[in-house]
Amino acid sequence: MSDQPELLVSQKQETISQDFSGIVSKWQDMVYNTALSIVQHEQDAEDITQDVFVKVYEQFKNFRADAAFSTWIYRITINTALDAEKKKKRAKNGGLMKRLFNVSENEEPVHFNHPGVLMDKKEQAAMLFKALKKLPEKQRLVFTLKKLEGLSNAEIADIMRSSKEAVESLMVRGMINLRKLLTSYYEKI
Amino acid sequence: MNNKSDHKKLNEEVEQALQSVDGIQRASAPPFLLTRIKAGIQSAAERESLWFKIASLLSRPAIATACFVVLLLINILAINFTDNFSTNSTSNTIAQQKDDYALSVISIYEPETNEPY
Repeated sequence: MSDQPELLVSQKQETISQDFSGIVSKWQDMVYNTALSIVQHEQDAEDITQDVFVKVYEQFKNFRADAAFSTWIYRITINTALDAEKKKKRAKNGGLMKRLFNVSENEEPVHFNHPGVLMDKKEQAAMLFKALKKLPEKQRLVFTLKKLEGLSNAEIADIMRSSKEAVESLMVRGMINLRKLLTSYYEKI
Repeated sequence: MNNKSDHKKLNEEVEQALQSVDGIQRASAPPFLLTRIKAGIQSAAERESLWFKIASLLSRPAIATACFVVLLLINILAINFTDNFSTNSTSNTIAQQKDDYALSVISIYEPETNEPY
């Protein structure tokens, strides 16, 4: 989280396009990793990353200096990823023709393997990501930002426009729910 | 005893799963992302153009259907109006020709007399 918002804000619109490649190279991994952790699909995460930077480019003039650049870009990433996820869910559930002809394209992978997980923990991590998908949205976001992005409660509270206490509470509830879900998964094995 | 050890093992597995993302590395963005983003920005700019907006507005099913209905109504009205106009003008022309060629005489066998009956 070593961003320099004042430096970025002071840039004029004309220089944005010139410096845009710098912004992309600085933030692309963060955006991609967050999107990937939310949607758990590499191709979708790539598309979301692209959309996020297009939005950043378009809305840069609306960026207010009272928020850190990282907070702003995290918000855009989370909203874009959640929107994409909902859109995909709608497309999957809807579609009369698809249901009639039982077309099963773009099926979700059974296990998602995050590329950043250590080799010997891949199996357990896959179970965790499976359980993570079942969590309520806010609990999932807090867990993702804290455990996968390594943000502090204060930073997460800023991103989610919430209080630190609310974030802590969401994290506790999320962990309880994850334990329950994982227990039920391991019991079935 | 066996049940207790099973429960313990289960708890251990759950804890291991929860800790599996500790020390996770950030996933790296794919190469050529900047090129894709620039292409995305360009196509977004094109989407902002007036003609594209008009085309996308007209291609909406509701708007397209409404336009089709309006065009259909205009056509029906135009056909009706043309029919009335042509019928009126034809009857006027016939009346004028009747006057011009003195076609008011209905039959040549009609007695032409000035004397009163």
